[in-house]
Amino acid sequence: MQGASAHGATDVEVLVMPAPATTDPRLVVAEAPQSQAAGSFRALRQRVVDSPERRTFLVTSTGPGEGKSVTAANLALALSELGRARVVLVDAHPAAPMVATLFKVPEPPTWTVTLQARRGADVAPPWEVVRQGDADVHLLTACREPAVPAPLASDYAHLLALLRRAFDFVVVDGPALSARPDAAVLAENVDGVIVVASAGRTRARALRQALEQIPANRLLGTVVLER
Amino acid sequence: MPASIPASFFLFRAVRHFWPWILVVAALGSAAAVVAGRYTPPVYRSEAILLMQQYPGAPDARQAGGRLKDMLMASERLSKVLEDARLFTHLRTGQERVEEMRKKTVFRAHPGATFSISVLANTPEQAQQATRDLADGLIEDDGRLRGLEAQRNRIFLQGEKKRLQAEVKNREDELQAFLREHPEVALQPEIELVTTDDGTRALEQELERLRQAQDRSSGLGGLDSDSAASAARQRAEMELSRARLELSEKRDLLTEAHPDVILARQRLDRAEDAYKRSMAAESASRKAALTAATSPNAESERLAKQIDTLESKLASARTGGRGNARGRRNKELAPLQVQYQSLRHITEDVRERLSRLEEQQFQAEMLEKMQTGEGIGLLTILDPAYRPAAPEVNRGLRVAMAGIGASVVLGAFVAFLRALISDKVRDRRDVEWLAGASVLAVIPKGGTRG
Repeated sequence: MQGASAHGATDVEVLVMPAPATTDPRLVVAEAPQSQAAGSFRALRQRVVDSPERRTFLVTSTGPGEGKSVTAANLALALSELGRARVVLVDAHPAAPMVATLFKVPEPPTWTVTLQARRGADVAPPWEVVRQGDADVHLLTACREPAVPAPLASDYAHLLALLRRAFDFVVVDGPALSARPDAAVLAENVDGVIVVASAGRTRARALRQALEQIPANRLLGTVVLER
Repeated sequence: MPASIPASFFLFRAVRHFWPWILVVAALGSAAAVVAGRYTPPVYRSEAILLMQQYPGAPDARQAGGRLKDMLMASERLSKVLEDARLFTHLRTGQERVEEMRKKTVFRAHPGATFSISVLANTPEQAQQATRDLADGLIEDDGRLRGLEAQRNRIFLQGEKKRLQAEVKNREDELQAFLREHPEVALQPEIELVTTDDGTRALEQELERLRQAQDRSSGLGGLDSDSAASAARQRAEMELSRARLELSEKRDLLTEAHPDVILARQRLDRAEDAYKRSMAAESASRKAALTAATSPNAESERLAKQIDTLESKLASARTGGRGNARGRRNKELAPLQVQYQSLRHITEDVRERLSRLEEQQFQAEMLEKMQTGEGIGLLTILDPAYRPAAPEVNRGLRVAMAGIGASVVLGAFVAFLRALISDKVRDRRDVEWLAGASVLAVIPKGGTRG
């Protein structure tokens, strides 16, 4: 594992890792860039970046397993295609982390551990983001660490503000709206929220309830995943 | 707060996502309905039209309609028709068959005093026979019942006639006996008891005029004593006029023996006495005033003499009408005359009642003849029951159509239930309908789960 400071921001350290031999086939923007699904993610990218000041996005859903992590990862990949923009994908769901799995990051650093270390340290350790090869997508990964306490709202606000300064786009793979209150906290600290609805899986009542929880000025819209 | 989904969303989804359910249920139901329709037997309707004769004394057709319907639907009649036409043999008990017959039988009253009877049956022959039997039986029963009523009515009227005839005879005998005893009453039927002729009134008016002239001539009009006497006389005069008017009015309406007439006459007597007293008082007052005057003129004296003369004439005129021999005779005859008139009135009244009764009896006899078949019957068949050539309605088609409609409704209901139970979003339009927010992208199927 190799360390380096990133983009002049001393609080963020980029760990450059070799690109894996194969990636998850669900990352269609990278694996099948000519596919219809990849085109749809690029269309999604165009819709969310239509305003220049909108740079941080939360991807969430009404429940687990509805495709929010895959959507967030593909959105991050699609955003990175915009003139080699610097994009960071944050795994904000430590209870069920998916980013490291999708990008096949071995022994990924966990930002919640860094968060705990920064709380008591005289010299705050930097946030470690992973970069695979020369890819433009940076990963702030998480692992299941039962001993680590859950982040506070102020932690999310501080972290997202820091990442916003260090990167062009920040995509947060958040928890489900029905699972944890973190999603609501995250929604207040991003520029836009994208709700993923999975056809044949997402329940109408849950979707309506979830949409009512999100502030209207933060809600960008929904992404429908067909089965 | 849990989010509520309007029912329209599930209707929308039922049509969009679960329409095959509607088709399947509707198709299955329709097939079953068509099969049921094919095996549904046809029904035939026959009808008969009855006419109720209209003539003086005939019953009102509208009222008769209710009675005829009750007679038609009587269990006894329907049971007989059911037996003859062998209807509804598939039903077990007689009561069930009667109830079914009531459902299949229609009786209607139409304008123009006509009635229709129609019966639904499984064969044309049964429908015709049942309708014909019902119509014939109704006419027969109605005629029989009306004949009995008319017979009872005639018997009653005959008895009443005999009683009235006897009463007429008694009254006439009584009147003849009275006339034999008082023949003078018959010779002088009109009696004048009180006279108030125009001459008397003219004298009174002249007297009043002279008194006013005397007042003006003597300059005594303003003396208090004379004015008081004059006012009293005027009041008495007014009372006299009112008493005369009342007596005249009472006489126009009542007989002389009536208490009101007697009272009015007494009032007139009292008013006349009061008037005489007031005139005497006024005359005395006037003379005293003239005596007291310092320079009585010749005109006043002349007027005073004329007034005295006129007062004497007036007194003579008032007492003369009631004091002569004719008046006394009239007074004696008055009670007899009253009794005579009363007897006449009673006799005429009984005769009139007898006359009306005879007229009723004639009508009753005519009605009885008609209703017992001697003349024209009250109810006749205008249009006899016919044998229907075709079923009334295609019941099979009706059953099939109803079944198809019900199947479609049932299918829609099932689809709605299905949409209600499974509330998972299915596509972009579901999400758009629910979210009200824009759908940013639809990611097609393939490797996005995670």
